[in-house]
Amino acid sequence: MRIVIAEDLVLLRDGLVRLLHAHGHEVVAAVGDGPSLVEAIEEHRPDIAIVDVRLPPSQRDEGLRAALEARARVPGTPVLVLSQYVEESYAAELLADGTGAVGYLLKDRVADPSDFVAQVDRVAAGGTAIDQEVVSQLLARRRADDPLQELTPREREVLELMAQGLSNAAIAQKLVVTDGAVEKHVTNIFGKLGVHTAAGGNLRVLAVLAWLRAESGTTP
Amino acid sequence: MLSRIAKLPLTATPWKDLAYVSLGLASGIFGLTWVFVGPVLSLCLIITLIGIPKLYGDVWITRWWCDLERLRGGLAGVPVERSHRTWAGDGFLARLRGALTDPMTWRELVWLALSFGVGTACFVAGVTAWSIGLGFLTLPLWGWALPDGVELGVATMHSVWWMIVFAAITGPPLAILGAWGLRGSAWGQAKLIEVLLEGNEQERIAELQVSRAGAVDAAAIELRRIERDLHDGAQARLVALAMEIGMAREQIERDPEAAAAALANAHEDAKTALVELRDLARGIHPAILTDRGLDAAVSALAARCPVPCTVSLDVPDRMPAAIESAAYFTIAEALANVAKHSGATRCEISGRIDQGMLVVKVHDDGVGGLDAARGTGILGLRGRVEALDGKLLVASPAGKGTLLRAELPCGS
Repeated sequence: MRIVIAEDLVLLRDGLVRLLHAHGHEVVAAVGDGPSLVEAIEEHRPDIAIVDVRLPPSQRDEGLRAALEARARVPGTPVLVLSQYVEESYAAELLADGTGAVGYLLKDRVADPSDFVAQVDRVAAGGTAIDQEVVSQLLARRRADDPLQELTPREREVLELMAQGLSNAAIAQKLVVTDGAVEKHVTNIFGKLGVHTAAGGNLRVLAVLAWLRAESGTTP
Repeated sequence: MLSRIAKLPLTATPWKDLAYVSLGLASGIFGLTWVFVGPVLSLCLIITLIGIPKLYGDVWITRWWCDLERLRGGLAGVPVERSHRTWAGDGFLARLRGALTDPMTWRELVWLALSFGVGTACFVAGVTAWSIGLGFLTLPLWGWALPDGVELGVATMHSVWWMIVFAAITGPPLAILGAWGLRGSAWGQAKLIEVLLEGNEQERIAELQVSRAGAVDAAAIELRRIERDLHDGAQARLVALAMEIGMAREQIERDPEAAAAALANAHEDAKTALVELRDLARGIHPAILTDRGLDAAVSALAARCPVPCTVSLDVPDRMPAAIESAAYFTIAEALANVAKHSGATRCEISGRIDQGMLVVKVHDDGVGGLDAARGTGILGLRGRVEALDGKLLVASPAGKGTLLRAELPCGS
């Protein structure tokens, strides 16, 4: 898999390159600022771009903006945004075009290289990877008459993993249950929340996130 | 009481008053002219846009001139404190608005418009009164030079002796009257200036609010700096550390050598993170300052500075924490500049108490040319010092070293 990395701190950039290399991926370009990222994506057309939110020159959310611009220029480029802290509204901006193939993770996640690379692979394959922190932020801001309160603890766990972008199979593996059990939970959850989607995969993730965002009273 | 009244002509007061009303006349001529070529012209020019920056310059010149007028009051015994007011805001338009909504600006303009009339009247009245008094007193010295003698309405004096007698009788009372006439003219003008141009509590409160805002800004800048330092430093270091350990864990079975290398990296990262966290904590508040006070903390700073420093602090063991901390960070920032930019070969740090103020100075022999208006370090310091009612001065002529001087009220 061919990867472009944008990270201004050399320490982390080198670390990421080594990590991805150790897992058999090729880093075709490693850049340190927003404009170079857009150029590198246009030039290399990578399978995925891994981008730090905070990049020079502005040192604000330059990475996020550059990633969105690159996706506008080279549509469908999978983008995984990394950040020292996560904000649910940034995730919303990434998800806004509804095409998926985006990820938004805490930088801390690189501490588990295999999990991290699995998420990179998922986003590169067109899936979604939303950090559990973001999902917790969404779940934390509930109203009193909340349909989420009707979920069993297990269903809640499944919902969280769904929102993070995991497939039924991945959820089953993580919770050490059968695929069939997960499917039953998912049907129950959708029934209780009133979400009607037959779609699986990415569209399901988007539907769940959209529901969480709408119910939490924020507008995209 | 009577003797005080009688002795006025013999004191320096009439001469000071004379200087006062004379300067008042000159100032009045400038003042009235200024009102027209300054603010009035600017208002006319506003449609060409040149008027706006000019108007801003005008309010400053008006203010400076009025500060001279306040100072001039010292000659007449009615000195007025110079204006300390500040016009806050981002950009000069905001400050101009501050200046134009400041009642004192308008009072200053009113005084400059009045100053010609008032100055002329006081000058004419004062000088006439004093001249008549002096004239009668000194009659014998000049009376002889008049070819037709001195006419006194009913009689004419030709003899110098008569003049001496006449001067001896009429001179002293007229000189006393004249001196008091002059006194009245000068005092009247000075009082009018005092009434119009003396600052009030409001002005002081406004100044305090501005320095409070400066303190909030300084704190915000400081927090932002700490967040940046954490983000780029220890936090990133710990992420890398976690990643290295994670890789080592995964590799330990199949590639022990790679795992050992990753662990070695992680070990280095952990040690570096410790150093970075320690430096950051010291930057927020050095423990030695809390434990041992300013002298010890500054000596520690000087010892870490790559440029040789001499320290001479003659200050109380302990002072209020805010003052110690502001003095410490002023010196720390100054030394950081010395180390980074100055190219200095030596540096002197001194501190002493002068009239209830802690005065600290850092002086280097480097290249100078430090721009105090730029660089958030100095701006942050200024906010911090001014919030404590102190003053920060930076003198950095190119090629002649840099002097940074902070004065802080230390309440002792």
